[in-house]
Amino acid sequence: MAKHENRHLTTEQLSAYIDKQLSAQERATCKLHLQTCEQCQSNLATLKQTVALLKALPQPALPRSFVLPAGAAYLQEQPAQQQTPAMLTPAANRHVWLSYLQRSFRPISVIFALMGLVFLLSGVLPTLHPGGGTITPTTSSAGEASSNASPAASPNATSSNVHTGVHTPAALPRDTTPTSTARTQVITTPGTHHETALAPPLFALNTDMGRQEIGWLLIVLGIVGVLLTRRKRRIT
Amino acid sequence: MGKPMRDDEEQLIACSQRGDVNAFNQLILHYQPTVYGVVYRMFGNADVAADITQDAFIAAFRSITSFRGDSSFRSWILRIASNLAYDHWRRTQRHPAESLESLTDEEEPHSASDLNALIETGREQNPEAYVLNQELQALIQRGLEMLPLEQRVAVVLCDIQGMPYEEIATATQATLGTVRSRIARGRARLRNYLYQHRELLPRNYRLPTNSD
Repeated sequence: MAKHENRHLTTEQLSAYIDKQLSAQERATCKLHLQTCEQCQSNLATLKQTVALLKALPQPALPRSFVLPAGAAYLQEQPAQQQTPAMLTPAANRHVWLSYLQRSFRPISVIFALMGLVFLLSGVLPTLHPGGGTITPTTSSAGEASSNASPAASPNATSSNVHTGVHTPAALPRDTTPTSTARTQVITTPGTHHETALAPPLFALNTDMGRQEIGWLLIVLGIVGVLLTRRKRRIT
Repeated sequence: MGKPMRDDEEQLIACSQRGDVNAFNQLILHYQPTVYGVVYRMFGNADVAADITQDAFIAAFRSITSFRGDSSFRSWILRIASNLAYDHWRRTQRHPAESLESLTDEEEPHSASDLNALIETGREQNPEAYVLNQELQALIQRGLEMLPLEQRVAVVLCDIQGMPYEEIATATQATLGTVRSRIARGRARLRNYLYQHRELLPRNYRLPTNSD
């Protein structure tokens, strides 16, 4: 206690003391200290006088009344606006979720279209340029590699990819892996994935024509996806 | 201040929530001196205070359905007003040229003898009650405007409006501890500012022996 009495009171303590915002115990220690400490007494007195000056400030005269005109348009909109955010929060959340879905749907469609383009090129380019002189090395090697991989049995497809991957750029595994996974899915779970299950009979991936067909399909799907999201955006 | 109409108030709020502008206008009539007074003391500018007060009442009517009665209506409306005041302050901070006129705080000091003659000080029963002349009012107002905005709002609500700490905490969306410290720091700063201009203060105003 003796230590507390010797320590000067902080401005915050004195300020709260004025407003009677201290706990009973704190107030008692403050009072005790103030009895003996002139510095804190003066500090308290000047703070009190500052408060008194503020209290003496007159209320400024109102320049006009702030009463609202009845029937004003901006007033009638307001209660409705206020109710909507409170009442429609689940709907608003759904809306946000939908727009998020739309936003993510677009890039997915673009990726689909690009994948389709790759398939298409891998199907078309080898037939157009059998020599492969003018074609970029990546596409030609991709085409060759996939055609190389196709005669091999499906479980060995991945191993052949690894083997050829040493020479070919990164684009190659991307092209061939979907086909290999599609095949393994056909073997293991034919019923679950309809699209992948249907793919081999309709689109023979080991032929150029099959790759062209799947390429076209993916491009069309991608374009449709992009167009759909565009329309939705305009509506909202 | 809000106590005599406490009973009516709930009814008026309920009517306002059903879209009754006239009921809300009754509330405005009661609270407009408070709201205008607080904003006026924050910026010392009648036009700014009037604009913010009007906007605050419009915003309050728009959002009256969100008033649940957890806090007093006074602290609720003051929260809206102080938020708008903060927005205004931020705008003027970004574009100081617009507000240069209203924010100039340095005026040439007046001679002490002339001003002291104008100050009526002290009353027998309450020596701390001052009747302030125009110059001294202007000095305190400038002192307030020197404070950081958070401290300014807290001091205005506490010492000019006489609001309890709890209500100030609600109105400024701060904790009690923060309110306490803002009030203390604001008062101390203002005291030091007034001390720098002590020639304008009443004769019986006790000056600090040390500045902390």
